[in-house]
Amino acid sequence: MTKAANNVDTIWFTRCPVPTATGLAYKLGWLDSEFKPDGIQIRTLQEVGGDLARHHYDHQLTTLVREGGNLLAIPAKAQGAPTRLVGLTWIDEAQAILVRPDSPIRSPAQLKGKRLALPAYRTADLAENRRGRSIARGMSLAGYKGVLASAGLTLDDVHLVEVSSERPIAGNARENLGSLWGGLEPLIKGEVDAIYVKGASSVDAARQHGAVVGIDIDKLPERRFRVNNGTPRPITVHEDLIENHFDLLVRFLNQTLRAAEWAKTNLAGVHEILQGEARASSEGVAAAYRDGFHLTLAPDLSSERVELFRQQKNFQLTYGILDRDFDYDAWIDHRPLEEARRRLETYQKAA
Amino acid sequence: MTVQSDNASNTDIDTIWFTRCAGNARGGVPTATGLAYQLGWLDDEFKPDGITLRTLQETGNEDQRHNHYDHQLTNLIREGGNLFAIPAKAQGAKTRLIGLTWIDEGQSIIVRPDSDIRSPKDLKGKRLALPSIKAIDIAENRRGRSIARYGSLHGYKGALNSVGLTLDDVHLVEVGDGQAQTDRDGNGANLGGFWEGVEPLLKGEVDGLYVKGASAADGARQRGLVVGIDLDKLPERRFRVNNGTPRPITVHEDFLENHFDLLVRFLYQTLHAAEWAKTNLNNVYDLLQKEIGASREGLQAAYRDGFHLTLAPDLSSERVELFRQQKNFQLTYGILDRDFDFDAWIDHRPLEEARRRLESYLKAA
Repeated sequence: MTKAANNVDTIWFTRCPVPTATGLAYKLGWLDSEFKPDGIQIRTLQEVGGDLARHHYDHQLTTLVREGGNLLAIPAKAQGAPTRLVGLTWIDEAQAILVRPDSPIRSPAQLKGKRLALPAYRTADLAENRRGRSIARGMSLAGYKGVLASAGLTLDDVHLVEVSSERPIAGNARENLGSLWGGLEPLIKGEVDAIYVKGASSVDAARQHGAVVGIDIDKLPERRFRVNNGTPRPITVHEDLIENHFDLLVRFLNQTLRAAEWAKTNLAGVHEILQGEARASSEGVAAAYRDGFHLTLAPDLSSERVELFRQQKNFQLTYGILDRDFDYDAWIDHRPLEEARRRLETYQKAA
Repeated sequence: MTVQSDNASNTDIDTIWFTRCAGNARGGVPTATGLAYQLGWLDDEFKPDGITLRTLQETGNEDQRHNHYDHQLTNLIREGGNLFAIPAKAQGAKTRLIGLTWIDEGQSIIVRPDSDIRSPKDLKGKRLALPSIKAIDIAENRRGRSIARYGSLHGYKGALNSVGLTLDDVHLVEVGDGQAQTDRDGNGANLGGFWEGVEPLLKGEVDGLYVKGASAADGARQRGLVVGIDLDKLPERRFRVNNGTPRPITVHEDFLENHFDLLVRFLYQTLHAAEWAKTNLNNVYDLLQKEIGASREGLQAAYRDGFHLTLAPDLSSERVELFRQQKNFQLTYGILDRDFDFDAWIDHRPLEEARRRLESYLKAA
C-alpha cells in the first residue's frame, strides 16, 4: 500500500445504527490495521461524540468518510456542503407500518382513509434550519408515500396526524430508541391507525408495546416503493479528501469492499457484530436484517442505485426538505470506488 | 349606510389597519374589502368614531409590512393569501379565522406557442418550472412567503390530480437563485418570483410555468407566451385550491375579544360591497383597475365568469373543507413548522353577526 498520508493523522468515519460494510471492517479491526503503518488513527464520530458529532450532518471535517442516512447527506449538500458522493449501499432494514393487533390493516390498499402518525419537526431542527435531521418526520412521509404508491394511492388518500417526536426518554436507550417515532403511544391509544417505523430497535419496541407489523415494507415488490433515508444509503466525503488524499480514501473503501466480501460467507459473525452496532437484541437484528442482506453489503454506483437515489433527492426537493436543488449528477465521483474495486479484485486474484 | 355603534370600548382605538393582496401592478386580486375601501364605505363607517382606516400596502412603512405575515398588529384585519396566514398560525400567531372568500384569479400554466401542452394529461413527463425558495425566507424561517414556489407546486399538483396523475409524473426544475427582489407581500415587479421561469421557458429549459393573476396574463402575452392550461376551468374546486383559493380573513385574537363590534361593522361593509358588486360589474372593473393596476383586458381575462357575484366572504362547510385541504397541503409539503387545531381556529360569530345586520339593512331599504 502506498503512503500518501503525510499530513493526515486521523481518518474519521461516521455511521448510523444500521449494518454497513464499513462498520464491519472497523469491528473486524481491518481499518485500524490498514492505516496503523501510516500513523493514522481511525476514529468514529459516534464514539468521540461531543462537538464533533455535528459533522455527521454538516461534513466540515475534511478527513471524514460518512456512510449514513441521506436525510442528512442530501440536505447538507443542498445547503452547500462541499461533499462528493462516492458510493451507495442498499440494505433493506425492516421498514414497517405498525398497527394494533386487532387492526384490519394488512396491505397497502387498506391504508385508504386511515390516520397515519407524522412525527413533528424537532424544535432545534427548525431553529437551526436542519429539517433533514428530523428523520422520523422525513422517513415517515417517504415511507407512507411509497406504500401508498405501491397500491396506486397517494398521501391525499390518508389523514396525516402530527405526533410529538420529542417525548422524554426514560430508562435505557436500548428500550426507548423506538420513542424516536413518537407515534407508538398514540397508536396504542387509538389516536392514529398506523405508524411508520424502521430498524431493528423499532421491531423490538413494537413487540414490547403490543403493536404488530401490519405492512412489511421490505416486501413491497419494487425498490422504488422502499426508497427512504437508508435506501439507498450514501457514502460521502469532503471534496478535499478526494483531491488531496485520494489514495487514503481508496484504501478505506478497499477495506469496506473487503468486509462486504467477508460478510457473504460469515452470516453468524455479521449478526454478532450487528447486535453491538444496531443497539438491538439478536432477535430484533435477525428480524430486521434478513433475506440474504449480508450478500449485498458492498457499496456501488450502479445506474439502478443512482436512479433510486435521485428519486429520494427529488422527494426531498418536493417535500420542502431541501433549501435548494443542486446538480445531482455532478455530485457523483465514480473514481475512488472504481479504484478500490480494482484493487480488491487484484487482491482476490493474488490470494 | 353606516351602522351606528353604542360600543364605548371603541374609544381606545384610533386606527383600524387592514391588508389585502392589492396595489399598483403588484399582482393583487379583487376583494370585497378592497371594493368597500375604494367606494369610501369603510372611511364613512368609522369616521364618526374618529377611527382612521389604513392599509398596510398604501400607508405602512417597511416596519409595518411584516404584519401582513406575522399579524402582530392587534387591530389588523387581514384578507390575503393563505401562504402567509396558515404558516403564521402554525408558528403561533394569535389569530382567528373569521371568513373565507373564493375568487378564481386566472391561475394558468403557460407554455411556448408551439407547445403540445393543452390539457392536464399532456403534462406527463414534462419539465415544469419550480421557483426557488427565497434565501431571506429560509434565513427568517418564513417559507410561506416564497409564494411563487408553493403556488407553483400546488398549481401543478392540482392540474395533475385532475387527471389522476401526481407530481411524480413530471420533472420539477428549480428556477431562479432565491434572490428574487420582491416586497414583503411577495408581489414585486417580477410577481413574487413567478417570472423567474419565463426565461427558462422561452429558452426551452422547461416546458411549463405556473402563473396566476391579471398582471401575469398581461405579462405572458407580452413575452409571446400562451396559456397552455387554464386552471380556472378545472372541473372541481379541489383541483384549484391554492394561495388565494380559498382566501382567509384573519384577525388578532385581541381584536376579536376587545373590539368585536368594530370588527362586525367592518365585515358588514365588506358584505355590503360584495352585495353591491353583483349589480355593478362595470364599476367593479373600474375600481379593480385602480386597486390592482392591471389592464382592463388583463382583468377581464383573469376575473370573469360571474366572479363579481360571489365576492362575499363566508364560512360555508364547502369552503372550510377546501381550506382544510390547503392547510394539509402545507403541512405535507414542509411549509408549516407545526400542525394546529384547524377547527378551533375558526370563529363564526363576527361574520354571522355582520350578515344578520346586512339582512336587516337590506330589508329596511
